[in-house]
Amino acid sequence: MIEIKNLSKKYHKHQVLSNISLTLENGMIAGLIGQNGTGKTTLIKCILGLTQFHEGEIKIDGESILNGPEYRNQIGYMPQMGRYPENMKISQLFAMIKEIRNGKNLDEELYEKFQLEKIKNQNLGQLSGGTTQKVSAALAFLFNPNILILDEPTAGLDPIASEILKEKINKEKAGKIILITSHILNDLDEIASHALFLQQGSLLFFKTLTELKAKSGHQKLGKTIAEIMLEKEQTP
Amino acid sequence: MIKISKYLLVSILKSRFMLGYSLLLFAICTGLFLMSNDQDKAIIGIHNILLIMIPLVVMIYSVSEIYHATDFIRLLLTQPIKRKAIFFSQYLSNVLALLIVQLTAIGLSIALFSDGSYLLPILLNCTFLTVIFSSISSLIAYKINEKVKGIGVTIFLGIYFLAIYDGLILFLIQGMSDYPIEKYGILLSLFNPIDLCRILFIFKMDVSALMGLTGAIMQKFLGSALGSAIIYLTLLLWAIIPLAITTKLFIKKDY
Repeated sequence: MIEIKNLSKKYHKHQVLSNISLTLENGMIAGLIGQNGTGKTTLIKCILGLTQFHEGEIKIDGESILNGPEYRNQIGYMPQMGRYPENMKISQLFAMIKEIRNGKNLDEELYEKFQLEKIKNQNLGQLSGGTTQKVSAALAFLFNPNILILDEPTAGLDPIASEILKEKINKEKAGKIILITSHILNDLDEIASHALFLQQGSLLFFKTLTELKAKSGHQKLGKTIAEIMLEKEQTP
Repeated sequence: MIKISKYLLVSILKSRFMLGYSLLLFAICTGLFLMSNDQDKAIIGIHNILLIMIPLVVMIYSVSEIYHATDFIRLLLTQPIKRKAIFFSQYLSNVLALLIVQLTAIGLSIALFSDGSYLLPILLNCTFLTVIFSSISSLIAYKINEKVKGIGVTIFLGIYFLAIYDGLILFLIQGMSDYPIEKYGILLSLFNPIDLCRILFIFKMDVSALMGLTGAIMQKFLGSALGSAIIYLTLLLWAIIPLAITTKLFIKKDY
């Protein structure tokens, strides 16, 4: 369970997140939606401990994340754009991360399905953007973490790989928390259970997809969200 | 820490830059030996070139390497390891890679083409310069977020330590030549690690007689145990202080 209470974050004088409170329960797949620059990535970074926040608190299973780096054992993170040391081989990267995490109970499904074994001796600097994303995805799922944080996971992937990844997310959702940011609302429509909408650093709503769709009367998440965004613009 | 460093070290050593750099260093050292028939002259030439080359190459390489690794550092930061460990593994792998390449290339050339009597002082100075300027580079690269600005500051600092600082001192000595300021010359040189390395080496070579009164005073100062202790201690501080500041900065940095 991730509890966020009154989280605020400023970069210099610019307020990026203001007073966000929400609770993510196990079993939720939350789609993090919002226009560019509304603080989606900052929110993720706060949870991951990449960014310091000065107000509010974040607790994972009841313990504040400021207590030490151990809580990250439970987290798998897939960055939007992974960039790795150019002369390191895929096999070396995996060996290194495995040594760091001392993980047992490894989940190598994505590693196998993306056929990374075949190219394990290639240098990471030679890989295409999509293949690099496959490596990032395989790493995020490798240690069977309870919390998965995926930043634009399908953006650079080809249709086949994207389907494999979505299938994997669906398979893993039981008992886990999965937080996904994506501008591809169709993808979120397929996999997410909840939508978390940020606007200018504030949490606008956090509802289940069925609830949202019932309210707007549309079957597609894309139309529903577009309608809400337009509505908000017209009523300042 | 060592887990990460060893993988990073291997990856850095495999880069084309490191191969080219080691060949260039070997070629320069060997070239100077072959061109002059006097071994001491060649050694002084090599040392002078290294004093310019190592700070510049180490700084520009380390700074751009840190900027380049930003995304990877971010990924490491999401793993269950302390920030300090990540910082030091990055620093350590970088310094070790540079040291291995430089010491092998220079050491090999000196061992092959001279009697080896100046091997240790030269390698010691290379080590000091590499460690010190890697620390300063870390401070610049983690403090300044924009890459272009960071590299600009790096180049300026390099030129400052190599030329501007000495120019200012010369100017000062010229202007105050009526007063006995030789002692303060030593004090001023403590603020430039390149000068310190140069002084250390010059007195190993026994050419200080050519340096007049300042040389004589420095010889006296350095000849004493206290004098050389102060120089080595100052060099260590040049490495430790920027590193300590950067560690604090890195722990609080937003990625």
